[in-house]
Amino acid sequence: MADVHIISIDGVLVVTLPAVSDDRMAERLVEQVGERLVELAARAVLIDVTNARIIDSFMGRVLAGLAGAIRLLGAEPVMVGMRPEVAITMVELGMDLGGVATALSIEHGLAGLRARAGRRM
Amino acid sequence: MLDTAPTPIPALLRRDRPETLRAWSEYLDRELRVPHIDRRTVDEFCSGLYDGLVEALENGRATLSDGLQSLLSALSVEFAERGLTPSQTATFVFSLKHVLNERYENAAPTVIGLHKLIDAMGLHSMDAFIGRREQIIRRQSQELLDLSVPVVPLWEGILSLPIIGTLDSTRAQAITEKLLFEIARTGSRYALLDISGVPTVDTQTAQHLAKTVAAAKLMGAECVVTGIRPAIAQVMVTLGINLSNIETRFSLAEGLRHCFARLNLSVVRGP
Amino acid sequence: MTEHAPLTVRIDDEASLSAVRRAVDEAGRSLGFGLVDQTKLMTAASELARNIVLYARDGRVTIDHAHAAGRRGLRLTFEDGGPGIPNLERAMQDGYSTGQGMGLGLPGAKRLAHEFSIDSEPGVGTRVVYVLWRR
Repeated sequence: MADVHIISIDGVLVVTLPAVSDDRMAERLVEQVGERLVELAARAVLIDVTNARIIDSFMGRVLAGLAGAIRLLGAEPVMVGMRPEVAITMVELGMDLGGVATALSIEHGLAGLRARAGRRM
Repeated sequence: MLDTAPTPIPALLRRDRPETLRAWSEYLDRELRVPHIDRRTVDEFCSGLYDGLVEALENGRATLSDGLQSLLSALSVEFAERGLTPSQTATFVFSLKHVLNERYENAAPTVIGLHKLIDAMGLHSMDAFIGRREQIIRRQSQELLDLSVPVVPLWEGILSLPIIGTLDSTRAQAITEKLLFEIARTGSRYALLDISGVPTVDTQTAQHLAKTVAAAKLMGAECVVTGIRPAIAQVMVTLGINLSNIETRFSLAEGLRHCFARLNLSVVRGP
Repeated sequence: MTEHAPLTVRIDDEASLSAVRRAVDEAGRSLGFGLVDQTKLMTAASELARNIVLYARDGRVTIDHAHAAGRRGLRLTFEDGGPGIPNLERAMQDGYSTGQGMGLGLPGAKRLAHEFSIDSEPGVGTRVVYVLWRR
């Protein structure tokens, strides 16, 4: 059972989802991320889906739920690295991820967060 | 002319194989020039078909065996690539009938099963021919499609995709896929979709555009649709097409200006 | 012309989902689907298999090659032994959900298909047939 990889960069949590997400991992996801978020007082969470070859509606709901939980905990969720074929399929499937912010990659995500934080000051 | 003693047809064919094949070869030389294919290949096909036919008759088969079908397909492909028409290929197969008729004139009633098999062979060769042509056409269409979807890097992080011509479903899909893969490959946050070269925008086209924009958004890129002419805008309003959550600009230049602003870039006139 | 034997995979519980995905993945690859089509195929299979895990019993999927007019493709036939879908029309509408607020994912799977059919009889079972042609 592949585990979720969570690291912290510059006060931002980076959650890397594995290639194969089984349902058990998905269930623990919100809990695990929530704990680290609070522990590190992170201001944003990058959800890295680069490794995900398939995102079905179940996984889509998990992601939307994760984004929602992150917002409730006062941090900003950003989904990064979605593969083109997955994006096409998700749109065709009609999945709605609830308007979560997105970025092309972890680098893009971090840069975007910095830019937004910079503008706010 | 040979005797019509009650020998079973397959045995007869086996016995007379060398002479019949020779007769077939001569017939082909006289009646049917098979250009650009060397004699040996033709002879090999002929013996293969002949043996396949005999085997089918021996086994009492009404349909063609896998082996025979493969041989016919290979024959068709070979002929197709040499520029022969499907009817020439089929005629080649049917010529065996002429040869057998000549040799077994008096055994007419008994060769009906044989005729059916040869008919099936000829028809199969045509199917294989057509199938191969369609394969080639599909490949060429794909290549044409690839060529007609130019994704151009306009600036660092900005791609440009001028869409020209009508957008049928296949083309729209190809365009979407090409654009999204280019976005991923180049790491471009912005894409300008210029539709000034698209003659009409119906509901389906608008839907394709909306899907493309949505998919790019999921990836972390923003699409700006430019070049919507007043006439097109009119049509879209009439059709009730809602593009309110898609960034649009009148011209490519305006679209570029928008992207520059987002990237915190500005164009400054020199001293 | 080699004949491919259809492959049937049982769908009992969540663990079956990976078996289904693996089998569909292999079948799709052997037919040489492009990346996007392969993704659509796998995602639809995941949706439909999950439906069975969540809502039905005696489930299985049969993976088969499809042939028509010179085209080749993959056919996935999902079957289960019940409980069946009472209002099929509604289930095929977007936004329909049952149980824990989870949609059946049927209209979505249909959008990922070239051909799609569904038969269901309450108390008996459901059959969903999904076909994707090689482009």
